[in-house]
This record gives sequence, C-alpha cells and structure tokens, in this order.
Amino acid sequence: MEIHEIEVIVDAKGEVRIQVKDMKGDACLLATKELERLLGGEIVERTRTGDDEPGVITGGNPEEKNRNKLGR
Amino acid sequence: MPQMSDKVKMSEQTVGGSRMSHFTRVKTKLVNGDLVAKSLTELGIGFTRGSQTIKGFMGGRTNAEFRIPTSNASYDIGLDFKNGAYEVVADWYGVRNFSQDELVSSLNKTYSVLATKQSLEDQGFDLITESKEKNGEVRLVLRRMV
Repeated sequence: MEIHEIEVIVDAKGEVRIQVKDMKGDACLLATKELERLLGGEIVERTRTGDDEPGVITGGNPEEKNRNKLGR
Repeated sequence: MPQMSDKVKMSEQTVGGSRMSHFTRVKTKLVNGDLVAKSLTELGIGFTRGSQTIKGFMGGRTNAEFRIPTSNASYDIGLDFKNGAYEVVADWYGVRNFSQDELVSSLNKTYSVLATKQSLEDQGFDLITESKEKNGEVRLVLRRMV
C-alpha cells in the first residue's frame, strides 16, 4: 500500500502551484495531467526530481525573463 | 547467459521503480464552461447561460455564453469562449457594482480550486485539508492510498 499526496496552492489571482510527492515513475505526471488540462494547460514552470535526476525540465523562456528584469 | 550491464540496471530502476516528485506552476485559463458556472454560483454571482446578449455603452450589444447582470440595467458583463478559453467582456465604464480586477481574480481562484477538487477526486484522491492563508492563497492537500 502506498500513499500518494498532492499539494495545490492557488494564489490570490488564481495562479496554481502543484507539488506531487513520491510517486513511482510516470504516475507522478499522470496524476496531474487532467488538472493541468482543466486549468488551460499553460505550464509556466515544471521541476522534476527523483532519486537520481534532480533538475528543471521546463521553465518558460529564461532569456526573455532576464531581459525584462534588466529593463532592455 | 548475457549479464545485464550496470547502465541497463540503472535505467530500468529509474523508469519502473524510482520515486519521483514534481513541482508545476500553471497560469489558469477558464476552459470548462460547467466549472465557470459552478464558480459563479459559489461566488454568489447571478448569471444566465446560453446565447446571451451583453449590453454596453450607448446601447451597444455583443454576444456571449454567460451574461452577468449588473446594478446598471444598461450594462452587463459577459463571459465568452474565444481562442480556447473564456474571456470577460464588458463596458466597464458603466459597470458600478463589480471591479474588473476583483471579478477576474476571484473567478480564476474559485475555478482553480473547483478544478483541483474535481479532477483529483475523480482519480481517487480525498481532500485532507483546505486552508485559506492571510495573503489570499488557498492551500489544498489531497491524498490517496493505492
């Protein structure tokens, strides 16, 4: 028997942060697929970590974000 | 009999058995009309749904799926499905009892909470906690046993 836990934080403007913990293999991403679809599917950022592969998979366009921060 | 290399062993372990976690940030779009209707109801906002006429400045008219009447009988707020999501349409000049920013934020927030509960409860998750933070965030924890 396993326990799957998902934490969802909805901010004051409705943007959503989803944290899925300790699921095996692809079950991790499948668990939130329908939720992401209902939310319109616009993933701003996704970070995936496992026993041996920590790191960012997608994260928008970093060049564009940094350009805006520098005011160029 | 060929021996399995360490690399293959590691690959199988990663695909089939290792535990993964992920963090995702989603910019909410209103894509499900039934959830939009539930959100409006939960917010206590009266509406009609179907092929609606939205009234605006100088008797102007446009069409939308949802019509929200306002305290000014000559001005409505509409919600229409365009480019894959619902958009709010109104002549805000004449709308007195709704703020555009507050309406859009509260609708997005309520929609996101309802979408979370619906999609995860359909997959066997139970809502463990739902808390409202001082900064306006809503935090939901859902769990399932498999």
